[in-house]
Amino acid sequence: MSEEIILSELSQEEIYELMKEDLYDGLADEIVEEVNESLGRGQQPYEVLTYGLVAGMEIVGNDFRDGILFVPEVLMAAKAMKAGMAILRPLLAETGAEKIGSMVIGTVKGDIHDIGKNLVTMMMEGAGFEVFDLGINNSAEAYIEAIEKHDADILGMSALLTTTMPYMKVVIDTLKEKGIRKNVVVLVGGAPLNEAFAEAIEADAYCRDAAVAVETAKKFMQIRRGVKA
Amino acid sequence: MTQSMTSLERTRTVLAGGIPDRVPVDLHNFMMVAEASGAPFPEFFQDGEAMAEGQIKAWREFGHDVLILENGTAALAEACGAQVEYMEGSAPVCHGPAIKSLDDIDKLEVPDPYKVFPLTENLRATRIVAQEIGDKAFIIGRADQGPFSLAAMLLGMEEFLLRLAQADGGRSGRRGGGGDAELAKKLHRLLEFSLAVTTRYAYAQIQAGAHMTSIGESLSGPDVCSPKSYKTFEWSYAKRMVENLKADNIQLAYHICGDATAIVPDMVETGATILELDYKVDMLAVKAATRGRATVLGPVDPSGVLALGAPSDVENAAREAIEILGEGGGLILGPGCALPPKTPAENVHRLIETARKYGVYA
Ligand code: B1M
Repeated sequence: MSEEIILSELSQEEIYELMKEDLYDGLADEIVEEVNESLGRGQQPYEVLTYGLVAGMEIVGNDFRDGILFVPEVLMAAKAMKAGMAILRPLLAETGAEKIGSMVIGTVKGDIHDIGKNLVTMMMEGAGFEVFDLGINNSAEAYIEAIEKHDADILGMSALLTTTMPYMKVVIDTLKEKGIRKNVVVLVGGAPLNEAFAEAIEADAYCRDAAVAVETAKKFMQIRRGVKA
Repeated sequence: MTQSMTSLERTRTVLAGGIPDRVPVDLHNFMMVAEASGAPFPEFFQDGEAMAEGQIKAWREFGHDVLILENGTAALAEACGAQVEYMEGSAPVCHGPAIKSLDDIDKLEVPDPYKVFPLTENLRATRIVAQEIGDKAFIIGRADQGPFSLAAMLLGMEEFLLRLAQADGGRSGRRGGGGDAELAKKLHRLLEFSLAVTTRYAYAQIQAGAHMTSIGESLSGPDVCSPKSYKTFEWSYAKRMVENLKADNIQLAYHICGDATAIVPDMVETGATILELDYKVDMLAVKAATRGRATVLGPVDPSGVLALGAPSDVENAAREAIEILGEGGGLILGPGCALPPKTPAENVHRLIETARKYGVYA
């Protein structure tokens, strides 16, 4: 069994280190204990989020990108992160910590491949974004309704089939027709896509994997902040 | 001179490790066939007679050597009680599990392929195609998904993958990383059940007249799962399936699309007669691993090249495959996965012409 680790004997720095490892191993119960221990010591919720969960998910994302971790392990890490977030989320709301940004995401009409989209959702949440996941098989109308309802900063679309990826252009064209294209950053992803395709359909960026999606979303949020400020 | 063998002779020679007159060609065209029929896809994929007619028509048009018969990836899952949606313009997909948790495995029953829909319709298709052209073309009646992918659909794909990681244990080793043996046991029970389901259906495909059968296990490949998970939760099941069928002189084709390079040596070790591989694999590594031991079926890109490329792209990809994988036999040329519905006929013709022109053995 596991080597006995007594949290109260560790320094806060050691606890953050341990959180990263436990997140990597997808140990939800341990993460919950560590979050509670940290909060009990007077750490701020956003500190626990940033130095523990977000830092940990970044390692997970990078190792997934580099072919060291695979989908099952990332799903498990994301589940542990969710358990930690369940404690932090209400506290973050209370302390009025500012959200990094919000995103509506879903797979496009005709496409039911959702494993990649789910990973992106989890990594985005792990990075502190608020994500509204519309699930699979979404029409332009469904995306737009959700963007308007949640006043989302970002639209994320996912397609794994060459037959469904053209629908992304339909969505973007509809955004244009409605005059709301400029209100939202459009990020697209999925195995058969590439940068040239994203450019051709006038998306803002193509995201090769979940880690890139997080980086790109953060970058665009900075630009958006700059524009808004 | 170039065409001294029939499709059947040509294919059988390759499978036996010999050198035929030229490289045989297969099509993985069930969606093209649906598109060509003009019928709504949901109707078409539930109608064995229509599927058979469409396949025969396509064979008369293209003259390929090997036919792969299936109606997507969800037939066994549906027969076991999972929710399946028949979509317009695409293959049917599974989107709801058959069991709520791993504690419900005992509620599952191995479906009788002669009684349970849609297996009945798929078998009807195989039977008709085998009767009509089985003396001329080589027919692979797919036994749908293999143990791993079927188990994933029965439990729900994400739930299954998550449990897999849990059973396997952590990676950093800080806390021992032992995994969950109890959970692993339950997963193996579900895999055991799935193995029984797919094996039974495989026999039925052969009884319906198919020359050979096949399973799809893409979910277990390195685009999704680690080679370690593959080895623990898929490999031994595939190997047992191959061995069981071989005992009755039945050959199996083993399909894992995406970049399977890392596990190809393991796939070879299962003893499968054919490995169906995708364009993402490293062809030199695959040739080294399969030479004299298994036949490769593929690896032309079905979407990027066959559906969206120009005929010259098809020719280039096919020639490269013939040169590397076809050297000394061991290759059935074709798409590494399903052809999209709107694949141009011109490109399919070019694929076959390329084999006739450049795939000839001296
Ligand atoms: C901000 O927004 C963003 C940002 C980044 C985004 C993003 C959105 N979305 C994705 N990203 C990016 O980040 C993610 C994480 O890093 C990445 O996501 P990915 O989704 O790329 O990667 C995932 C983490 C892992 N990858 C996957 O999950 C896909 C794996 C493979 C094996 C696959 C699977 C599992 C399935 N399939 Co399907 N399937 C295949 C795949 C072949 C392969 N080996 O790759 C592929 C995608 N399938 C294919 C096909 C043809 C089909 N499938 C079908 C069905 C299925 C299953 C149901 C069996 C299952 C899906 C289960 C599910 N719930 O998702 C059918 C169609 C269903 C439909 N209408 O959608 C069917 C038509 C097959 C059939 N015979 O029935 C092929 C598509 C070919 C093409 N280019 O058009 C395919 C490439 C196989 C092949 N070799 O040909 C990035 O792309």
